[in-house]
This record gives sequence, structure tokens and C-alpha cells, in this order.
Amino acid sequence: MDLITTEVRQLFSDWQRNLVPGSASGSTQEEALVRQQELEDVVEKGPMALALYLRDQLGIDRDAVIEAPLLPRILSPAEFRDPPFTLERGLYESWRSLVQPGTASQPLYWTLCHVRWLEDGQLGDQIDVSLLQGGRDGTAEARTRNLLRRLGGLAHVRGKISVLVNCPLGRAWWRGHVGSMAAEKSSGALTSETAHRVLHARNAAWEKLVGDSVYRITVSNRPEIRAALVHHYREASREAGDVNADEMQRTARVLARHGSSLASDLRPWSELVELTEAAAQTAKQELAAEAQ
Amino acid sequence: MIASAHPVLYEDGRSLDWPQASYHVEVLVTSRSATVEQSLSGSPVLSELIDRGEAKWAVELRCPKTLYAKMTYHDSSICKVEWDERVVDGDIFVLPGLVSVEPLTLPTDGLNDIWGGDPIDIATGSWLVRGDVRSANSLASSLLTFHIRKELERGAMQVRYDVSSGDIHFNVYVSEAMYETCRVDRNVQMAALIAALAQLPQMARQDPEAEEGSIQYSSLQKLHDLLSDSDVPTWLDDNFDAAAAATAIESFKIREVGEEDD
Repeated sequence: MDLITTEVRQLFSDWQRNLVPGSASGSTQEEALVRQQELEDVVEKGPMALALYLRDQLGIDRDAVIEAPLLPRILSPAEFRDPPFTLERGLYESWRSLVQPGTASQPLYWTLCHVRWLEDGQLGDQIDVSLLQGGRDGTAEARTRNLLRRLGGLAHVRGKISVLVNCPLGRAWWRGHVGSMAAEKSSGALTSETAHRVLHARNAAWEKLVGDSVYRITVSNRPEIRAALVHHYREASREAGDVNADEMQRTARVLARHGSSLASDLRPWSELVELTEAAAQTAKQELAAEAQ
Repeated sequence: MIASAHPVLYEDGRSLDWPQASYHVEVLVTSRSATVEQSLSGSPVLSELIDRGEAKWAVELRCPKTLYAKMTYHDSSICKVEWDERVVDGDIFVLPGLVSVEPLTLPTDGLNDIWGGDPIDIATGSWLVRGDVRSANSLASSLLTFHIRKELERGAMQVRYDVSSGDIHFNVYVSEAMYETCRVDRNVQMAALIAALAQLPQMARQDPEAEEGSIQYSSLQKLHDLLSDSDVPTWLDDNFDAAAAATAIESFKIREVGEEDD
């Protein structure tokens, strides 16, 4: 997206830090509270007012076209905050060739996309419900954090995982993308859709899986290892009804401990499946031992 | 089944598997490529595997921020690996080494006695030699950026951390007169690094969203791993010492009598 320049990045960073100062820099808590209340007032005025406010904050001309992938229809607040699988899959399918990982990893990119969607009316009129409410929303700062996370992520507070887990529509693309990469390396055991469905499990599985990946240089980042993990938990979730998020994360860590001497792309798929099953058993035992 | 162990020669010498062998790597990383030069000495057995094509030089690329990982294999010990800039963001890490590309039987000549005398069967896709992880920047230089702050008095310095990029970074502000010195004076750089690391315990305590003991940023994870490997207390330990930590990653340069500045 051409609009992502160094200057816009800086304005975006300043804007976020002035709203949520964190512990390092930015405005004082009192100044931040004034800005948070101003933001809530803007949201109350509706999607166009918020879009205009965001353009001003980010230094984007009011007539500059934001080239964002399109949403298929107006999303309800519930759909926006937690897209059901069919919707999420559809979004990924229509966006897959339009968005690249190097762009999708940037909170600013998704925030700009939301400006376009607000202007197109695709987030509906209840943007206070979509963006501010839900989860922890008892204070102006909590509601502001909700909005910043959902628009694109709050990297200066949550680190670079934020864009992958906190921005629902960014997360939709990422889960589809990782599912697609896993399917490619699964020797036909997974389709892109079935892998995506496992990653869409309605618990913390996705966050736990990618959490280690973005913070560590770990073998579980290798696509064929991730494919074997997703495959294993697809089978496991058929029996249990859902993916056990803690177990999945622990299994990835066991694989990281034992798999670092493997060039996994040269190993047969059946061996990676077997390796993952063994790692999952170890993970279960470790978690059970810790629980005692 | 967990992968069975096999001998591995590490660049940092932490394995005793190959007591006479050594492995060196030079990596030059740019924004879209890495040139990797690997060399191996003191192990005729490993060298013969390469000559026979049973093992190849390997380079693994990883970009944690975009969950990107890719392996490449090479006959030559010098290779250039490129990546598509659209699929990465932030630091790219390079992991070099040597990998078996077919099932092979490894003679034990040159191996530590603990491996016994019988040849060892090694599966396809096993790292036989591993280099340290490299990134585009050294850890210290990736942590610090020097800036001029005009209002500072001559010779003054301030350090502020910044996590707006999704990774941690320290902005070091110095007076205008001091700025040029920062580029060449290692002692000033070291002072900034110590001051920066001294902020980590407080930062870890103040982060409202971090799980206890968790590390949110990849640079900090690298730093933590490096300090732990060196048996130096980290900022998560009660006995953390910022000077000890800083000098564990970049030591002061001690000038001998008569030695000139760099």
C-alpha cells in the first residue's frame, strides 16, 4: 500500500502512544485520558467521523484513495469481533492474492484498511459496539485499547503478536494464510480449508501457536512442522470436540526441543506425523505432571 | 518416536562430538539476500560426505514476524540466498550448516569415543553441522540507535526504550557535540548499552499485559537466550547486573599501550 510511508508510520506510532502511553514514552495519563475521551466522542458520531479522525491522525489526505481488500457485505458487530468460520474463510479466499505477509504483519496496514471499510459503511453503524465494547471495557483506556487492537493491533503494548491475534480481520487473513501454508506441506493430508478450520478453534489455540512462533526462532515455524501439528490437532479435536490450546503449545515446544537437529523438509510426512504424535504424548505427560 | 540423536558439530563448539573439527561461517545479510560462506576443517569424514554428495551445505531463513521459514541446499560452500521482500518484515534470521540429503552411514573416525566404534546410521534430513543464528544486525547494534537532542548539555546522554515497532529498541539521545563521537567511541556505545539494559527489570515489572516471566520481544528473547547460555543473570533474575549483561554481549575494548583507535 503506497500510503504506508515512514512519516505515516511515525504518526501512527505517536497516535497510539499518545492514546495508550505504556510505560516508556508518549503522553501523560491525564493527557491520554483527554485523548481517549475525544476518541470515544468521535466513535459516537459514527463511521464517517471516525474515518475522518483517523485520516487526520495519520496524515492521510481526505481525498487519497485507500486501496484495501473489500468486505463482502456489512458486518454485524458480532461478526466483526469474531467472524464465524464461513465468513472468515470467505474473507481469506477473496483476499489471499491481494495481501502479502510483509504487509499483513503491520498494524498500520490493517488500520488503514479499516478506514476504507468505515468509509464504505461496511462496518455498519454500531461501531461503538464493534470497536469499543466487549472484553475489558470498564474504563476509557480499556475501550481505547479495544479499538486500537481491533483496528490493527497494539504493538507497543502487546508486541508483534498483536496484529495476528487482536485484529479480527487481520487474524482472519493470518489464520487462512497459515492454514494454506500448512496444507501445502502436508502431502495431501490437509486442505487449506481444513487446516484453517483447526486454527479457527474458538479458544486460545491460535494465539498459543503463533505466540511462540513470532517471539522465538523455533523449529515449529517450519511449515512442514506446523502442518504436522495442525494435522495432529485436527485428528485430536475430532475426538475431543475442540483443540486443547495448552497441549498444542506444549507439543510445539517439545518438537522445538527435540526437532532442532532435523531438516524437516527432507523428512517424509509420515515421520513428521509420528514425531508430532510422540511430542503430543510427551506434552500431555508434562502438563499432567505440572498439574499435580 | 522422538528423533534419535546423532553427532553434530556446532560452530560455538558446545558439542564434544567432533573434538578435532571446527566450523566457521561468514554471513553478509542485506535487505533481500544473504551471502553465506561456510568452511569446515579437521573432519575428513564430513568432508567426504560433501564430496560424495551425501551431505549438502544448507541455509535456513526465518522471519518470525511473518512466520516465514525456508530451507535451501547447496553444493558450494559459498552461496547467495535471496528472499521475496513482500513475505518478510523486520529481522531475517539465517541458520547455516550441513545436512544429510540421503540416508548415510557415518564412520566414527574423528568422533568422540562416546559414540563407540560402530558406524552410525543417519537419516535423510539430519543437521550434521550447525552454525549460530545470524540476523542482519548484531544484537547490540539492533538494540541501540543514537539521536541528537539539542537541548542536552554537552556530554550528556539519555536512553529511552521504544516498543512501537513490535520489537524493543533503545533510543539513545546525546548532545549535538557528542553525536559524532558515538559513531567511533566504543566506550560511549558501551555506556549506552549498559544504561539501556539497566531499564529492563523495571520495564518487565511495568508491562501490564505480559504474562509473568514471559518475553514479549524477539530481541529480548535473543538477549535472554544469550545471557542464559553464558550463565549471566538476566533481568528476570534478582541478581541482574546490567554491566555484566552488556559486557557479555559486547565487551569493552581494552587498548594496549601504543595501540591506536580504530
